[in-house]
Parts: sequence; C-alpha cells; structure tokens
Amino acid sequence: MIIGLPRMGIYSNLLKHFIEGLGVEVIMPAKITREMIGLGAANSADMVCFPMKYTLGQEIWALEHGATDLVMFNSCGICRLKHYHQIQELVLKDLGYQFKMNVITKKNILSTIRQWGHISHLEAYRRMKRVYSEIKEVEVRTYGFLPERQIKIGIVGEVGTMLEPDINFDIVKKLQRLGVNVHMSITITDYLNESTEKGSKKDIKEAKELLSQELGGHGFQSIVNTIYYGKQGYDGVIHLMPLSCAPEATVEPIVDHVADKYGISLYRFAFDESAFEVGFDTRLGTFCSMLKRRKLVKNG
Amino acid sequence: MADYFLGLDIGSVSVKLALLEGDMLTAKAYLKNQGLVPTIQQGLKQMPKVQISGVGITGSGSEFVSGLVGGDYVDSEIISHVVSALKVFPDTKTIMDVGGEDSKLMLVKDGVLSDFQMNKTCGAGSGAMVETIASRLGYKIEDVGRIALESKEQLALPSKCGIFMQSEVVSQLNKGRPVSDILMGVCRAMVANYLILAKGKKLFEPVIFQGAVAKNQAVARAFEEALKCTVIIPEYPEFAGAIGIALLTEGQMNGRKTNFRGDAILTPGYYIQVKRCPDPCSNECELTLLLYQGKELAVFGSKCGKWENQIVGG
Repeated sequence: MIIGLPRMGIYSNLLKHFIEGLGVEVIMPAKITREMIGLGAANSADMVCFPMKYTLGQEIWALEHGATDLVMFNSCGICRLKHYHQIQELVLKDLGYQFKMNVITKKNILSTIRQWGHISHLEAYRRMKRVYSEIKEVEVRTYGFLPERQIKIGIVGEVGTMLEPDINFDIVKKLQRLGVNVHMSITITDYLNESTEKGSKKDIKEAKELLSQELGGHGFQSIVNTIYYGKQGYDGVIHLMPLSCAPEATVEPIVDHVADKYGISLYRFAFDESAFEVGFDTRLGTFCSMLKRRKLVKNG
Repeated sequence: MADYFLGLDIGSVSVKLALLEGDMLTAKAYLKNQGLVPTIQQGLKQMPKVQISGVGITGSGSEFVSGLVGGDYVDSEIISHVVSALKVFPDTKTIMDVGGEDSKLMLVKDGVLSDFQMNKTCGAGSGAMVETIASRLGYKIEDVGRIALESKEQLALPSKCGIFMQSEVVSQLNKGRPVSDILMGVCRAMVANYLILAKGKKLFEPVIFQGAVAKNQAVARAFEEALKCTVIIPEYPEFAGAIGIALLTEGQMNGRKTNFRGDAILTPGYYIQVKRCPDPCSNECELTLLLYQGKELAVFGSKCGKWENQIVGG
C-alpha cells in the first residue's frame, strides 16, 4: 500500500511523518503546483469550488507517482465537499486509474490509524494525542504574535483556503513580513476541539439572529469571528474563500454588515485556478498600507 | 528654490511621469508602455533638467522601475490615487480610477482611505473594453467620447462579457443603428461592469473620477447617469497616480538624499535576465535580474525576499 496524501498546509510534513510512523509508505507533493491545479481543473466541472480541483489535481499526481491508495476528507457537513471523495473516485476511475479511496471523517480517524498501523486502540489513541500536541506546537510557531508588528488582522473564511499556503499565496507569511500579527480564526486544533467560534455566547446569539438556519462549511463561523475581531479591536479582517464556495458566498453580505457595524475594515479574496499572485500581492499590500494609515490617523 | 519630486506611474498600457515643484505640477509625460527600460528612458528625456530631490514609483512593476531609476519610495496605486485626489479635493468621499486594464474604487472616510476594491478576474470594466470595440468599428479611442455624446437613443448591450458585447455590437450595426448610440451603449456597459466593484458598498459624494478613461466624456456621462450624481474630473486625470506618488515621496524624504541615478539611466547597457533561484527550495522562484553594463543592479521575484536587498553573486 502506497498512500497518496494531499497537502495540508503547515501540517503537511507532520502528518506525513505520522502516517509513515505507522509503517505505511506515503507520497505527498512538495507543494501544490500550478500544474497540479491545472490537472484538477481540467477534470472537474467548471463551476465546482476550488477544493475539489486542487485535491483532484494532487490525486492525479499521486497516482502518476505510484500511489495505490488515496485519502480524501469527508466533512460530513452540509456543504458539497462531503460528496467530493465519491465524485473524485468516479472521475479518476473513468480516467483509467486503479486505486482504493480511503475516506477520512472526524469519526473514523482513530479506526483508520489502527487499521493502517495494525496497532491496538490504546496505542492509536496515544499516538493521536501526541500528534495533536505537535499540531498545536506548529500552530504556535506559525501564528505567534510579535510585539514589533504594528497591526493585527484576523482571518476568517473557508478552512482549507485559510490553512493552505499554496492556495492562499502564503498569506500569513506575507502579512507577517508586512508587519502584521495574524490571527487564524480556525486552526486544525480548533477544528478537532470544536472551538471554531471565537466569539462569546452573546456574539453567537447575534450571529444566529442574522443567519438562523444551518449553512454548512464555516460560513456561520465567519460571521461570529468577524464580530469577535471587531469587538477585540483588531485593525482588519480578511475573508478567504474558494471561488463559488456556497457557504462563504452566502454569508458575504452578513459579514459585510457586521464588519460595517463594528467599524472593522474587511477585504475578501476568492481563489480559483485563475487567481494570480501579483494581483493578490498588490491588494494585500494596499490593504495593510490602508490599515496602517488609518491607525496612524486614529492615534493622532 | 523649491525642491523637485518625480512620480512614475507604471501602468500596463502606459507609463506616466509627473514632475512636481513643491506641490505644483511643472512637467508631465504620457507614454505607451513599449518595454519598461526604453519607455522610461524616453520619458525622462522629456523632463526638464533639474536637480531632483526624490523619486517615487507606483503601479505594476514598480519595484523593477525603482531598481532602474534609483527610487526613493514605492507605494500602491490605490494610496497614490487617494493622496492625489485629497490634495485637490480635500473632502473627497469616493474615488473611481479607470485605467487601461484595471479599475479601482476607493472610499474615503474622515480624510483617510477606509475601503477599496480592484477588479479581480475581468477587465470588462476598464478602458481596454471601450478601446477594443471602438477599434473594431474603426474609431480611435480619443474620438469615442465626442461621437458617443451625440447619441439620441438608449441602447441596451449585454454587459458581462466584452466579447459577447462585440457580437451584439456587430448585430446592432447590421440593423442600422447609428454608431453614436452603439458607442454610448458600450460606455454604459463598461460603467455597469465597473460598478460591480461597488456591490454592497455605499458611495457618497463628492465622487472623483481619475485615470486615463476619465478623459472620455461619454464614460463620465454614463457614470453620472448610473450614480445619479455629479462626477468630478481633475485637470489631468491620467496623471493622478504619478502626482500622488510624487506627493507621497515628498512626505517620506525628510531630508534624506535621493537614490535617483540621474543621467546614468539614459545610457545604454541595460538588459534583463531571468533565472531560477539557485537555492534548493520548493518555491522554485523565477528571479528577474536587471543588469547594467554587465553588473547586477537589482533582483526581483523571490517569494522569501532574500535576494531583493542584496545583489546575487555570479
């Protein structure tokens, strides 16, 4: 069994080593290249959201490099991502590839680890605990605040886009280099601990008044977390999403509304295969420059 | 004697130079972008020979040009446009900039930029669309405004896609529609596309319209119709970015000595080389090297920024 693992942002190497530690051979691309994205886009429906395309592209790459097994995540939520493993399996088999698709959900992580490593339930649990604490360490290292950075920006949006530097053009490092402390509203740790809503109970109630039905993805969290950043005195919020993301596009006007209400500047980036980095850099740089100027004027 | 500050606005279609004496515009040059080195050399030759105290650069490729001319300050076009508009109209609330290939909307609150939007994936809300269709009909872009204003009847054109619009334009021509109606329709469609940037935003007066497209009277009229308010156009709308960056540079110098390379810029011996970053790294950056008489003058394009502040050896 050779597992083709998609990249998972700053956690990629950690998770690769973890699975290798179970005695399984893993191949993972060193980065999600434009070629992989192109491959995925070429074999996806045009209007499907970007995560489908960039995971499919990596799967094709992995199969071309000898993978016998693929891993795809199933959110089991409401958004359409939960169907992608099935659609990808179909598309790839139609392309003539032979492989087994392993679907990972939040509930079957432990049993999958047991099965791959041929280890006991207790051992699997122990190893998982250890990798969770390593995940936490990487997050602290990556998102730690430094006092010399002048402004604070909170990032909200779709979690895959937020956490994958190859997709979001490495927004965190770029912001940090521009003198910005970056707070990720949702990290893997938050996801595993179900602590994706940063706001207080009152903030959650306010968000529920604006969006009362279940939406899927992290659209609701985008509202709550924007309220949170507004109340916490952050200088700005950046809303990240894949182009045509149903939950995030639905909450756009609500996020705009709460940003306006709490007087916090907001910028939104939607990514797909046609996004270009130079244009992204210009907008990001300008947004930071604007926030710094506003802060200067505010402080007299 | 006042100090002279030079602003360069590097657009995708054109390069603009503005020379300020204090806050006054004393010389300007507008050139089609035909390769950055020759275009900038040509532009500088048009500037009067004065002692320059600071050079600012804005626009796409501004870092490259900064390496070439010895820039003192680089900032975004958005900030430059806002500074320029606020200088002339201090109570500006909304600034629209329509350029050759991109378009920007800026909102000002309490004298500071509070929100902005740039076109993302499509150029159908920019000057290129009007120019393409005008040239398809055999008209120069300079004449479009005058002809379109003669329009008598309103014509609805599909506005989302410039190419689809072109086929609609041809079919309207075949039906015998006057060119003035068609060109006015194209200007209105461009404005409709531009205003996608304003989605979900409240625009307040006064509204300032800058960028080279502001010279097209018909587009200005279409904006006034769509926004139902007066649109103010500065004296030299196409130089707003260049003037803005010159003003910003003036504010940034604080007695610093300029890096401006002066007449050395006009000498031959510049060439550009593209190479892969020699270090092993998954980014695989493509570096652009600017060489002058065999020596490296500046490097751009690395993601980590390690080459930008030092010259690569060998």
